[in-house]
Amino acid sequence: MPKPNVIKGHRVRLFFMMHRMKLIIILSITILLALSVWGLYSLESFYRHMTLAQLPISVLLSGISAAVFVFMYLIGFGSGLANIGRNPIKGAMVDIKWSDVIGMEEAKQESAEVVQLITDRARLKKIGGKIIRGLLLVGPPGCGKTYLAKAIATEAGIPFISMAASEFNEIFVGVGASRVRKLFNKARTYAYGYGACILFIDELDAIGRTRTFSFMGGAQETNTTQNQLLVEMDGLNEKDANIIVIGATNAAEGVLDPALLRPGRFDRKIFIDRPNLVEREKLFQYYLQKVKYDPSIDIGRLARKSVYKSPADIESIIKEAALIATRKGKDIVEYKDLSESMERIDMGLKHRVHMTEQERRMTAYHESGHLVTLYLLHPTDDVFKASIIARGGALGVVHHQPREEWHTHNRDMLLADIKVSLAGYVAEKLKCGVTSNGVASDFRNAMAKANSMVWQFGMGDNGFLGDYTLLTGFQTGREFTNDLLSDRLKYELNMETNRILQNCLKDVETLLKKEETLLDRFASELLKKEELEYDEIEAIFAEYGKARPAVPPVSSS
Amino acid sequence: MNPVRNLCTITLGVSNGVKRIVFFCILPLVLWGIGCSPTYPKEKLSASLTRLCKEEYGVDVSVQIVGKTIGVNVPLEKLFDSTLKLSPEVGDKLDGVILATSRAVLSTDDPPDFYVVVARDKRIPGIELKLIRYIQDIRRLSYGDLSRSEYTKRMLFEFGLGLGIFQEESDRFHLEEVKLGEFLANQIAQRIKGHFEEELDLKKETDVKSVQGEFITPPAGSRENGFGRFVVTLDVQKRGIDIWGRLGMAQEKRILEASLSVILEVLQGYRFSVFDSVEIKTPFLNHTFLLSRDVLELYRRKKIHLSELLLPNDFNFSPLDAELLLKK
Repeated sequence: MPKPNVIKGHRVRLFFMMHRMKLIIILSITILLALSVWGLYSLESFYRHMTLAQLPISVLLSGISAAVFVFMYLIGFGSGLANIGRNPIKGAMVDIKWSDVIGMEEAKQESAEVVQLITDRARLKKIGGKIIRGLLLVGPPGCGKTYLAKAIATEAGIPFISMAASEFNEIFVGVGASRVRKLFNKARTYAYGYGACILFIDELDAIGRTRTFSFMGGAQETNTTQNQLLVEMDGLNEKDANIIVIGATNAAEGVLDPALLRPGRFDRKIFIDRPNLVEREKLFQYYLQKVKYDPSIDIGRLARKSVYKSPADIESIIKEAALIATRKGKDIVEYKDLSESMERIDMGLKHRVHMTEQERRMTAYHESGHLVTLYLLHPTDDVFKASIIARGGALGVVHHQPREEWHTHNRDMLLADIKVSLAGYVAEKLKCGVTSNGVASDFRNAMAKANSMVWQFGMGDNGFLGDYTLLTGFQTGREFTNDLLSDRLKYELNMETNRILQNCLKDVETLLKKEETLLDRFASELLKKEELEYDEIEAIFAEYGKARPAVPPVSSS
Repeated sequence: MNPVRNLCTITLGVSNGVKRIVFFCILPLVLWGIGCSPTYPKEKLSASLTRLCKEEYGVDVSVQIVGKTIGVNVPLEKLFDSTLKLSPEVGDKLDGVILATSRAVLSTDDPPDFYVVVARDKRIPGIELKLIRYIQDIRRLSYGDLSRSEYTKRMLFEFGLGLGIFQEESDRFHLEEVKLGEFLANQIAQRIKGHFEEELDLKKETDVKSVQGEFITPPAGSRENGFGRFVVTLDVQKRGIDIWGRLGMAQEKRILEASLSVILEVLQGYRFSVFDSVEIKTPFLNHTFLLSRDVLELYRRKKIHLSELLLPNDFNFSPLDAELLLKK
């Protein structure tokens, strides 16, 4: 690991800059001590002994008084208002190498470039290039933004100061700005001594949100804090210190203030996305090494099953699986434990709900309807589990995952999603002759998708193209737009939405009537076993000679 | 090596651990060094005290040490006025000498047990003002372990002609060592006298002619075993026109009760237990009360009543009775 070197000739001055307060305190103590010794010497030995005899108890009482004072001060003033609550030097904890960063290869490469630019600052300046001031790590939660920032600090080998943006905020206006100033002053001191300093601000959106202006002055503190940050990053400073601010946020780009994102501030953005299939495999391998596991576990299958999972999710799955295995008295983690762990994380804990036989039957047919439709009509998703054990607020569940990451959804996928959502309703109607309110969330999903297809994606059959939601009148920042859609147009669009739903309903009805035997079989299996695993589901479909549709799907409508 | 570890330890060559060790070792060493040397070493105590009195109060004194007693002879001009009262200006000087003596005996190694200050008026030979203090009392006053009034009561003060202990022979003088038993006996006598003057009821009815205290130790080489005994002689008469000067029974009882309370207060105050008995001689009753240490302790603990103590000696508690009663 590279060791930060103090610039030649700066050592003594840096020492005084960094330890100014300590030196003042030491000097004061030394003077006081010398005066005390002198004072004691001027006393006769009896009075000197008396004073010295009282010294331990005086020290003890002073210590107690100081502790009481500090306690009262902390209770009364929190972290001392403008003071930065904790020691911002977190570098002692930073020991993360590039090799420890898994599941974000592209982000890693970009970060390596940044580290190169930080360390080659002198060369860059010679060429005339502009130095990097800010680096923004954006991405969903749990994808390793903070982890990557630590790796950057370790690899760059320069001081690293870490703060959460929420730590700047206080109820008092001006305290946040004061903390920003203090933090940057500290960073400048380190930059003076070591040539550069990294300032990491986690959850940047806490102070980096688009500034709002209210006559009530509600957001004044956040605005002031952010203004100070803007000035410190690229303001009128007497010296150009080599401070690189790394911000991390999972807020969308539009949430952050444009002034913060302009070149000269956070002028480089690294997007850290969820890991792909290969990266997930690596992550499973990495985290499984930390526990004892069954070597016959198919890591590829785990990776396929955990589409859209973040590295933090994967770590959590392994931890939970280890707990499950321990609870079951096993020595090693098996595939079943991992599967159960994933279900717990995805679907929540099981809980027994007493259902009548009629309710159980209806739930079994509802879930079987989803299952059969999903398996036979959905082009991208696999069914991993079907269950009629209550979890969360649902009486049953069909757990499905896409076989691979899809960053867009085409018309057939969306239609398939709608059909799968409606299948529960159709199955209930077909086999029980009556439907339940258990279809509410299914209908919500189906309606939302059909609505978006027509209103936003131009996927209706009536020829309307464009995002009509933009014309319905809404607020953009401080502006309001008028509703520009006529009632007739709205009617037409809504009718098209309904038509999609009706067509899907017909398709599902046709399918389930055709596959009624299969539907009955799954319902009876569920009533018998309550849960069906991936292999069991596959076996039943195979028994009936059914196969999944090919990928990519061919439009049927 | 961790980069930030380096950061935190930018020092000018000395590690934090070494600094801490140096700090925590040096501080006690300095304090110990300050504390250990006495201001007035034993060998130079006399000279130091003489110099102190001369330099700080402008008084020439002569100092002598006998055993565990230090004596200071203070010859002063115009110590007394024509009515033999202490002159205020010179009295301040005497106070200074007393204070200097206290300071010197407190800040020396192997301090004496007593100091005796004798002030004399150079113009009136033979008249002396004598003051005796127990060093431990001064120390306890400094620690706040004694009240100022109790401290004053514990000081022996005599004023008179040729008081005996001091006998000047030019610059040299004769000093006898003060022993604790003897000091306490004198203090008991002085305090009983004071008590009789303070208590209005007693003062109204009685006239204290004299109270004398002695501590009699068995002569060296004698066959008698033991530590010694206090002998307190109370010469008290009834105030008024009774030509016989006789006291009533109730008055006698009160006098004895008051005297006993003072004796017990003094002995208890000094935790003095190296004595065998207390003998109270009462010429006004023509009687001597002999109270063993254990009986006295029983009385202090209120296990026996004064009337039982006033029985003739033949009916008094034997040491064995007292011991048995104490064990109960």
